[in-house]
Amino acid sequence: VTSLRRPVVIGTTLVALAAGVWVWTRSSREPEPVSIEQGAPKPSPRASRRAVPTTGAARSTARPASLPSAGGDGEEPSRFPDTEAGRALEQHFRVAEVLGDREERTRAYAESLERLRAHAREAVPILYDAVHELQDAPMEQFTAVKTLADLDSPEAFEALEDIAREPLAPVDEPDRHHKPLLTRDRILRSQAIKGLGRLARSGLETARQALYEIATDPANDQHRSLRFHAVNGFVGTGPGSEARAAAMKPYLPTDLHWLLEPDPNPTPAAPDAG
Amino acid sequence: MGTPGWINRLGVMALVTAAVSFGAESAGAACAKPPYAAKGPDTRFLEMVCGKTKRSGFSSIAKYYINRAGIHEDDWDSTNYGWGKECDATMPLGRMLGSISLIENSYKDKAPDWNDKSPPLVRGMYGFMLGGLDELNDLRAGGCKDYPAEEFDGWFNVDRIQLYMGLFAENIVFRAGTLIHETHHYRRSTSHACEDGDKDNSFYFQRACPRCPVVPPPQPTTYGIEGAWYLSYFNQADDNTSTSILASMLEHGEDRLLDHLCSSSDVPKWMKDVMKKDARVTVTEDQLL
Repeated sequence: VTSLRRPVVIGTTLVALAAGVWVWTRSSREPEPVSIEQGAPKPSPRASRRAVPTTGAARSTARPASLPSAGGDGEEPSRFPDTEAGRALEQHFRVAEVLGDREERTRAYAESLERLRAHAREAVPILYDAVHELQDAPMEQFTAVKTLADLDSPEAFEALEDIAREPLAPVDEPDRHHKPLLTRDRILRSQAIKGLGRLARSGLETARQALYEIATDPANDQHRSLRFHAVNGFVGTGPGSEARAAAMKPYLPTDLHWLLEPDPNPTPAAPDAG
Repeated sequence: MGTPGWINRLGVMALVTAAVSFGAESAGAACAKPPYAAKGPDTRFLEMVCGKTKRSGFSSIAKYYINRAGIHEDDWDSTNYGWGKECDATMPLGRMLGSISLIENSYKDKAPDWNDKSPPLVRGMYGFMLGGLDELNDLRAGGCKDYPAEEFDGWFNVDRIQLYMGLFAENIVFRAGTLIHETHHYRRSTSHACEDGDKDNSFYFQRACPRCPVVPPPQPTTYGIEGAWYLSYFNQADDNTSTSILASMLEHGEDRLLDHLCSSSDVPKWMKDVMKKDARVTVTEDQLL
């Protein structure tokens, strides 16, 4: 197919040559100048985000250090303030990046998380800021949201809700599949919604209410995965789940109704590796 | 490996002409510029191909990748995109090579070369990807678009995969997934635009496409194979090449399918379970596709 197509391609491009030469001569192929903005903080795309009420003094002072520099695995300065919570966070982030045996990783991650829970009140605003300030480090940004979710602490509720509700860019239908729909912003929201789901499962009714609102938000008509996870978290399991599933049915497209059906033969879930 | 440079130029000129003629978007969307922060997996996987190990007559594996993937100097300038700095994980070229390295090195008993596409998917994907890849270009010809990549083929295009800044700012897992996705499109005439708009209607098969010059045979969709690789990596990657966060990020690969498939009614059970449970699901290789 390719060999048949190639002459046609060449012919077509030759036809375009005359017009192309005009373009070529008027604008060289040199790329547009690209500014090198090493380390320069970008303006937050979420200028209108709600403030997350904090209970400690950490919110105003406990900001992550400058973005991590490029480099290997050598000892690097801490990303977080030199406080107990900041040190616990730094340790947790390093554990999250450890290579090696999955079981050991899982155990280390769980232990680190447990230590962090003792400082949840101080850690939450630091993590929230990290989510918004580590724009150039997507893995660490994701780690921050995941840690908020994994804390499974009511202290993290407002931060998670805030992240989950931040508006996403509208989907541009003509080029839908190649837009960065599931790049970092959607992943971060999706992870935050999963965190709200955990809180709802733990019995936090405000989290369940937030999930309901996210699930029924018309803005999420275009973001199926966000709606999916919100519905999943809202419905949950146990008492009342059938009624909640019925309430959610109108908000899910029919091809996603399988989400609301109980699974008689569930595939066993592997242990959570953190 | 790659198409000769002069053909490239002609194709680029044709594209530029088309853009001028039809008012298509050519550049301008805001997107993150290099250098990018690089640590952890970014540097680790790049270091694995930047040592003294030679391959097929090339002084490093990174240089072998460059040759094999049809990467040319006239498509990647040195200042902004990293030509000649292939071992710099803060630059686009190094970041892309790091992603190819992740695809090659994420299975313990990795494929000895790209001709070996045997399962599991996390192993065979290296051969599928590097064997099928050619003419991998940077954004220079396409402008600073804020999305990762697109693939061109067909009568009016020079066959190529075009990468944009949106890709290089992305994490290493999704950079790798995007390369797999675009490689699956490459020279297959597979599209997301076969029926209603640009939507895939099935997890398993590309639909026959009236606009496509060649009707593709039934095969997993581009998103299908991308999603299956995420899960195969998730379940079977060598522990020494994965981290808790890397593994967790893979869970969101399935979200990508959910957002893009037109209909999710025939997604496989493993994917439903992954998404419903918010937990790891163990599946066998033959269940994946």
